[in-house]
Amino acid sequence: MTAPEPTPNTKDTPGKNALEWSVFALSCLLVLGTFAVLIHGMAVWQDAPARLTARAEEAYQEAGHVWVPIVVVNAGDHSAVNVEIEVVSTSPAGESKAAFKVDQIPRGSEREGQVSFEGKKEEHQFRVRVSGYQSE
Amino acid sequence: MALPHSETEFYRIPSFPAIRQRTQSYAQALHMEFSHHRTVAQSAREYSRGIAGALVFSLPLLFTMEIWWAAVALHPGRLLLYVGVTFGLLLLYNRYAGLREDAGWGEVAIDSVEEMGLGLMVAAAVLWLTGRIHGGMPLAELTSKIVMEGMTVAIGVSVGTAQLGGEAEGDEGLCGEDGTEEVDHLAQAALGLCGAMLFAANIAPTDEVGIIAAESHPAALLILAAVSLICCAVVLHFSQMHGTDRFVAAGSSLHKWRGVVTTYAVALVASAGCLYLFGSLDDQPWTLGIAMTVVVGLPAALGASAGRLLLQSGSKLNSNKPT
Repeated sequence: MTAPEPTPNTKDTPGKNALEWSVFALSCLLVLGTFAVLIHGMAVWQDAPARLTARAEEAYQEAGHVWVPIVVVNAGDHSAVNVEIEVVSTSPAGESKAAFKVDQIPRGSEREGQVSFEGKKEEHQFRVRVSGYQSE
Repeated sequence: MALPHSETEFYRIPSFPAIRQRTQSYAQALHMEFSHHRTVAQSAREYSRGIAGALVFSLPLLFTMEIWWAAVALHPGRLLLYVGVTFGLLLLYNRYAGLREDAGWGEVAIDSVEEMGLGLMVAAAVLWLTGRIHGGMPLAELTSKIVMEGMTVAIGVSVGTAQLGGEAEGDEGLCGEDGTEEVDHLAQAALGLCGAMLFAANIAPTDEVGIIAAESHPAALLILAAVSLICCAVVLHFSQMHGTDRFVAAGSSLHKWRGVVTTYAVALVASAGCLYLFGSLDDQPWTLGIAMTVVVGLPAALGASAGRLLLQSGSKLNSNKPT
């Protein structure tokens, strides 16, 4: 009859503790998640240049001015830099223009800006366009 | 309704000792042996050292605008390559200068994954604190920024864990049990590459590199390359920096110059690699690419020489075959 093998004392046996295994598990999740997002990004990549669209959100009145929030969306595969947005307002007083610049809009992202005009909100009609940008 | 016995077993949450026992049995099944056992408090101290190291070594990068921009402009495949390169560097560093050089490759790989995870967490935290990322961002932009910053942070975690510690808590450090394990030329070149990448990564993505390269006369670039070589030579063979007696060859002049040239070559590889990974070489003429490589080669050379010695400063190794 053979003697039973001694049970190793887990406290002294080299190995990772609960904290180390937890950090490792969390790290695995993060690294695998990163891989998944990047591989998905590669799969849907079509090398399309930056494709920008701009739209005006609901204008509001503040401090005697009409403020118009503008949202610019890049639906292309490349980033757009030095994006120039022009907003034209038509009112009984005539046409007036306002513009702003966005440093960079990454692929699939959107950025917001605001322009202001004098007068009352009800008197204005707005047209928004992307007047120029560089594709990275 | 009471669940059947098998289902209640399935839903039972295992206790920590059970998890430990199970993971140890998995590790044994994979023929993986661990070099140490430490308490939770010791591990927590080790992680805190790693996070401190990450912040010390990579904070400039986390505050560099060009990195945020490059991250979202790069093809996802390039970022994936960056992750792979960083993992390779972490493996090399942990194998040759890490806290547990007596560990096997399996344990080194686990440590490297942990450092990569911590790097991603620290990068995400700093980017969030500085308002560079937020919950409303598209996942692709969020991931790109965190990955781009997190990889250099991961190297900082590794260096901090290994070098910022006080008394070794049962680990052998770079020494084997008898304290005589050797580091060969490959090990020193690998550590030089780690040091060069760590230094070059803080400079390569900046716009200033392109400006200096484009505006410099070829003769000025040649002088810059010569100065980089001289810096390597001075650091390795003249300044008597801490660790030169253990990690730098003291043979004939030919041996010394071989070490200097190898160090600068490693620096140039790291420089070109960083520039490529950060997208700085894209759409540039090859002449400008070389000029940029030489420009970043100066900090990379310092990283491959002085940085390499610093990365091993906490070790107790007596090297018999240094570069």
